[in-house]
Amino acid sequence: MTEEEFVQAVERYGDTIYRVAYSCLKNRADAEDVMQDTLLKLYRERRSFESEEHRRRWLIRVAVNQAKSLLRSSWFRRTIPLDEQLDQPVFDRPEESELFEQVMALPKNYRLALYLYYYEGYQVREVAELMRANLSTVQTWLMRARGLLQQSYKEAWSRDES
Amino acid sequence: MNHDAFQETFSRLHASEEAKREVFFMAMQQKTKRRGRLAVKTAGVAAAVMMGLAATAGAINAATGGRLFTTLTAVWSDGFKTIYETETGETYTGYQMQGVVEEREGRLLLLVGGEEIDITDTLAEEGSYTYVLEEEGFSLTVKVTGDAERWSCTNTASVEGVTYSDTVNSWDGSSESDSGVYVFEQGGEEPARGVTGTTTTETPEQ
Repeated sequence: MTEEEFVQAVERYGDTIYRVAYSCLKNRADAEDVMQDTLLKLYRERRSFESEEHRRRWLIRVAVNQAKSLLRSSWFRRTIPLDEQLDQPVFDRPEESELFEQVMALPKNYRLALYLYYYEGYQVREVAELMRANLSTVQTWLMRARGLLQQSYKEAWSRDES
Repeated sequence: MNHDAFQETFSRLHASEEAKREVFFMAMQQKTKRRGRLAVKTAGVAAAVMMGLAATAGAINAATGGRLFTTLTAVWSDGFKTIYETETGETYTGYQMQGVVEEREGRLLLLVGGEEIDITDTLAEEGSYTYVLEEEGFSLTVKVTGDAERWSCTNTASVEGVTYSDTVNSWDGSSESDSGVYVFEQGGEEPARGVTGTTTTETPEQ
C-alpha cells in the first residue's frame, strides 16, 4: 500500500472504524486506539481486496475483534468506569444527545448490532457475519434493543409531561 | 426506531484529526523499520554481537575492523534502528537484531528484526516458536518456549564463527535483559522529522 493509498484509507474508513469501536467501548481514547490498530493492520495487510466493500467489511470485522479483545483485557476492565463518564461527545440538539445516551446504555452487542444495521445499513444476515454471531441471535438483539429504546422514550416522554 | 435520527446522531461521532495524523506517522515508522530490515539483508554489512548495554563504540569498532572512535553519539533511534555519529562526522546505522518478547493486551509478541510477530497461538499449539535469520557471516536464532503466562526466550547469535547465547525468562526477573545483538552498516540518515533522542558513549583512548 502506498503512502497516498494509506492516507485515502484513513480518510475514508477512519470514522467508520472509530464508530464501530465506540459502539463497543463507549469511550474516545480506546475507540481511537482501535481505529489506529485496525488501520495499521490494513497497512501491513498484503492481500488484495476484491472491492472497496470487501475492504470495508474486513476493516469492520478487525475493529470488532480488536474492540472485543480490549474489552476482555484486565486493563480495560479496571479503567472503564472513569472513561465512560468523561468521553461523551457533544451534540447540538438535546434529542440527539438523549438518543445517544439511550443507545449507549444498552448492552454491548445490542449497541453494535444497532449501529451496523441502522447506520451502516447492513442486512441482519450481514450484521451476523460481521459480529460472528447467529442470525437468530442478531435478530433477537435488534428486537430487544428496539424494545428497550421504546421503553426509554416512553419514560422520557412521561418525565417531560409531568 | 427513527432511522434518520439514528443516522444523524451517530454521524456526530468522529475520530480526532490528531489520531488520524498519528496513525499515518505510525505507519510510516513501520515502513522505515521494514526498509531497515531490507537494508540488513542486502548490504554487505559488518556484524557485531555484544553482551552489554546498548550499542557502544566498542561494538562498532569490532564491526568495522578495529577502527577506534573516542566518542560516538546516537543521534536518532526508533527502537530497532539507531543512527550513530562519530567525532569525525561519519555515520553508522545499527540494527538491533535480538529477539525481545513483549506482553501486550494478553498477547505475546516477538519483536525481532524490525518485525512484530504474534506468537501467542503458536506457543499455545506447539509449545515453542523459533525465528531464524541467516546472513553472510551472521546468523541469529531466537527460540521462545512456554506459554503466554510463563515463557523463556533464548537468542543465539553467531558472528564470524563465534557464538553468543543469552536467555531471558518471564518468571525470574531476567526479562529486562540488557544484552544486545546489533548489525551495523556504514552510513545512514536520520528521518526528516528530526532527532528523537541523543546519548553519548565514550571509549577509552588507546
